[in-house]
Amino acid sequence: MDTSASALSPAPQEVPVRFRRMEDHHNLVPVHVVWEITLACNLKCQHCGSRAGRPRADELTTAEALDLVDQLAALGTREMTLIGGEAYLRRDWIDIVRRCRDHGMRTAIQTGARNLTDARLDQAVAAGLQGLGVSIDGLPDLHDRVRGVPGSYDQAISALRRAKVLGLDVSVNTQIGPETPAHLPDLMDRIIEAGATHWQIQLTVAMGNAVDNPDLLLQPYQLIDVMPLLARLYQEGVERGLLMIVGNNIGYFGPYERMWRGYGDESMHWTGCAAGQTTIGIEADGTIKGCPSLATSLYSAGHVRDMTVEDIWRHTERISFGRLRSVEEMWGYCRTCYYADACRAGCTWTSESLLGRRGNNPYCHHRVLDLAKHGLRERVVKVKEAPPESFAISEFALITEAIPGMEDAPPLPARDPEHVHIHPRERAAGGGTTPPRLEVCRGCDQYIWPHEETCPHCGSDVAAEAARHAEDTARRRALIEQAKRFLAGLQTAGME
Amino acid sequence: MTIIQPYGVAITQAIASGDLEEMKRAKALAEDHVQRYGDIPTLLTHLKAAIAKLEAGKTP
Repeated sequence: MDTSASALSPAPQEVPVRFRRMEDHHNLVPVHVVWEITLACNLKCQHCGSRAGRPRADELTTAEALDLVDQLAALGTREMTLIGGEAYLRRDWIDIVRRCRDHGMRTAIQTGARNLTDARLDQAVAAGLQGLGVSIDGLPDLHDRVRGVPGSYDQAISALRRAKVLGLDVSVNTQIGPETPAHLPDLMDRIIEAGATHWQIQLTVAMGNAVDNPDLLLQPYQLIDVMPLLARLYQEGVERGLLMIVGNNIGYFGPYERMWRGYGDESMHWTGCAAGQTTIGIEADGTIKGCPSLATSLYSAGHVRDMTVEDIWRHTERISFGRLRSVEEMWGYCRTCYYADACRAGCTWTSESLLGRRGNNPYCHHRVLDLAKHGLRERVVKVKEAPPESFAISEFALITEAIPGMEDAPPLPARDPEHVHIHPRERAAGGGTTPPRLEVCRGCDQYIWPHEETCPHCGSDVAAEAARHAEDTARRRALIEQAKRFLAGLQTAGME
Repeated sequence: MTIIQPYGVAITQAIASGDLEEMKRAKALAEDHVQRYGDIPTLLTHLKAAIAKLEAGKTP
């Protein structure tokens, strides 16, 4: 932790460009674009959803790619993530970086970093690249095995170090499978040492190569152990200068949501899949989707060779599903969940890839904890292979079973779907809506709908607990101010 | 504001915030001062108690 005097009152930070403002939601601004600029790849990842390796047969030309950047800039895109395959295997990737930067977009690449040479990094930095995210899925043995290339871990760490020296923002992405949790504490030490400041965590999803290797998928019930570990590492990371970023399929409500979704800002919580609302995903041939990971067969909304990006974005049905859906399309546990209309079953990519239909997501901490209270847990079993195409999905069976030794737990109560709270969504002139906003019950620190007078989780008087919390907050703020004044005085005295 | 984290580069502009983080920074500074110059017991005791209370809340 930085213990310099200035650390107590750090300079106000710019709001990250990726944070969505209300006008972004109302006007359907594609704030963040994730673009697979080539499917060519030099790794052989066993969990690769896009089955990357060879380039697509009809990837965009340089002129088409640069025009696409211009169109996105006109729609208001503020951040661009270039991915692959391996983005730098495309010969003109530097031209694309430069065009994004010319438009003022924050620009970074996500990479496996094999053969990311000094020359490539130097060129990218000269073109204005600002960030480098490196995928690392565990300690060397696990990472190299999952990524299919011996030595890929060492190359990934090397890239982190070299990018840091060049002044890039460096982060790490880690996918969680059954073997990963045991690696996380040591991995955290290593990436901190290599210079990473941010660490995005996400679950491996049943898509593409991961369907062929189902042993790489965490079982939903394993979240009951994984989530407390992640929470501990989140807190340790903050003290050591590494901010854990929980990805869109780490969720969704439960004891840690208020801690990590907004990095300490409790007003930010999960508000549902944002595909096609403030996010665009692009495939290397110009196929546009609402999210880069969604199944092409189900969510290909259009092609930039046939339509403008704006027309695809504003007028196609497949990109707008998230703007129009309601709880009525949800099913299973999620349909009757307390958070149904705030959560919308979490990450569409994760749930639909797994079960062949969106709207029911067993990878949910709230759900896992609730089921466990009633002696139940869920696991998934593959029942159908995935076709060979990129972003192909298959089907898994969802099995609910008794937790061994908890057969006598009270049964899960039947919950009426008609009693699910519906958040009123008024459509703005720009076509978007205001996301739901939950509040924190100060009796149990769980999120609740704002209309609640008695907490549905702990039964406490919401207003009374809020008043008590407000008093505590005021005392804390006074203490912080006292500390600031006192420490500032000490520093002044020490300088004299 | 809301945050969306699809597969892609982590949001490297984000920083942790909140009372807990601010108090921990203050505690670290106070401890640093104690180590160098001697005790400032009341402030440090209050900071530690407030941090413990917040961390030991109902969750996590």
